[in-house]
Amino acid sequence: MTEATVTRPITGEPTLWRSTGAVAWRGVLRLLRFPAVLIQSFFFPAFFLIVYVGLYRAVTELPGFPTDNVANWYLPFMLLQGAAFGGVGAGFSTAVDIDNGFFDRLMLMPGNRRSILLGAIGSALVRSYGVAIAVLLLGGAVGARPENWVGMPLLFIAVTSVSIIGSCFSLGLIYRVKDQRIAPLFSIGIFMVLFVSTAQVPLDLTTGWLTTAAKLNPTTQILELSRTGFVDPGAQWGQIWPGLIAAGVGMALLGAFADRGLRNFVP
Amino acid sequence: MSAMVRRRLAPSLAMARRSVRGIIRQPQLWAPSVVFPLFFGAVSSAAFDRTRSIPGFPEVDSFLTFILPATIIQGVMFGATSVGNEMAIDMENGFADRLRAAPVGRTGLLLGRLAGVMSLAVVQVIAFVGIFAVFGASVAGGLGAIVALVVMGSLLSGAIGSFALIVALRTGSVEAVNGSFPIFFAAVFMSSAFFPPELSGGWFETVARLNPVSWLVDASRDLVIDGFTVSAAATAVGLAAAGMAIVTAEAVRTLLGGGK
Repeated sequence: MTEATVTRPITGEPTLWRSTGAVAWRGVLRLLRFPAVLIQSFFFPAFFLIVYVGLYRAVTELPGFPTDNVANWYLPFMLLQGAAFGGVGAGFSTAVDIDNGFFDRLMLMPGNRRSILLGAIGSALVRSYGVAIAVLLLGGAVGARPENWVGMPLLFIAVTSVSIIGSCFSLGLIYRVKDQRIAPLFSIGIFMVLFVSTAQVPLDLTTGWLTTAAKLNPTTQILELSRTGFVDPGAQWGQIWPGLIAAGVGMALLGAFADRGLRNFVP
Repeated sequence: MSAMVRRRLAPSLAMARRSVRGIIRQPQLWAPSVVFPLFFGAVSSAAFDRTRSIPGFPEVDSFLTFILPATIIQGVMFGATSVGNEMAIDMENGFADRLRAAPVGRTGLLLGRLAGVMSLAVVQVIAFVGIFAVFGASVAGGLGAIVALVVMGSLLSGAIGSFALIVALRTGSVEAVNGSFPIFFAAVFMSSAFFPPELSGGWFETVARLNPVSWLVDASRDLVIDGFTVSAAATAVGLAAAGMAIVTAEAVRTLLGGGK
């Protein structure tokens, strides 16, 4: 084996994007070497999709339910769940790196430290897209059919934003706590935020405390954005812009949370 | 109790005390099995309450009442796996080898281990019924039904705990025990626990009808919604007892066979 095949020297300045790419690529390689990690992110959304489509078929009979195809209602929710679990994978990986000391070496890397955060988000996005594609195919197999194709790019935006929000949430926590034992909180937090919304039924059909909580929870707006292509009345600007704002604000706030956590990180 | 019987029971009772103390001292082991079912019960109740108007839905005063048996069974099943974790940890740190070398009956030690999660199940069932009652759910069968639910929950916990012990004994791995969690998760969700299967129809109804968890849920639901009947109580308790007898016997066989 020649030296050239063993190491590929990095030439030039370690710019933000070059370093980000290297960190993200490391995350992708880890994913390729341990595909079981992807299966973990895929299990819950896939399982819930299959079960919900079978279990709650009758809820579409409720007056005011925006589709008569139960798979159309639950598929976007499961895609966002998969994106979120893919996103928190960044926190799990970073927790392992902190535990085994690799993260300290990353912090000594010349160049902009922000690339550590952006790289982790990048690899989480790859993971989320992988899970989302698998769940989307499963959704097609269990009967989901888009009502319009305008909703597809919006679904992509929703998946991307939820993945980034999930990864920033988990990274922000792990940068502060620096302990693997916090990891279960990533999934629990995501689970609770997703379910306390219009994940299961439309807002008009919720009752009691859930109606108020779902109205206040920005996840509801992102879910509406993701469902644009799957339910009646379809793509309407009044449904789209609140979702775009919720996604943008969520990414900005959680991004700042993670960024601040990294800047204050002391090994 | 004769001195000889006391001497024979002493190791099992010591193990039972250790197991109960372990549960009390490590809330992180059981807290998710209380919080998660309560959360899921609260969300499902608020989300699906209007589905009671769908023709064919059982006559019930609230969805919270409908879902109470599901919450009980879900919580008890999730909580019971902690005994497998304890066993695997004991195997990893060598404490299990010291117990094996001790001149005491192994079966009694295994049953003693189950005492912790079976006691936890009693507390869980009472807590779930009490918390749901505060938010408007009712148990039509009254005290008799609650006692039957407590006994059913405790025996079910023994059955699931024994299963977790089998996994621990065969693998000696905490990860393997935790890895068995999706089995129970799937068993609960693919049953009549969260929605009437006759309204679901299709493949789900078939699977749910064949799922033993549904039989347990349906009997418990009869006690909660329709009132106390000997047949419903006997079905709920009998199914859980049969499950515990079968799985615990297999756990004992695994233990006596040497395990890992």
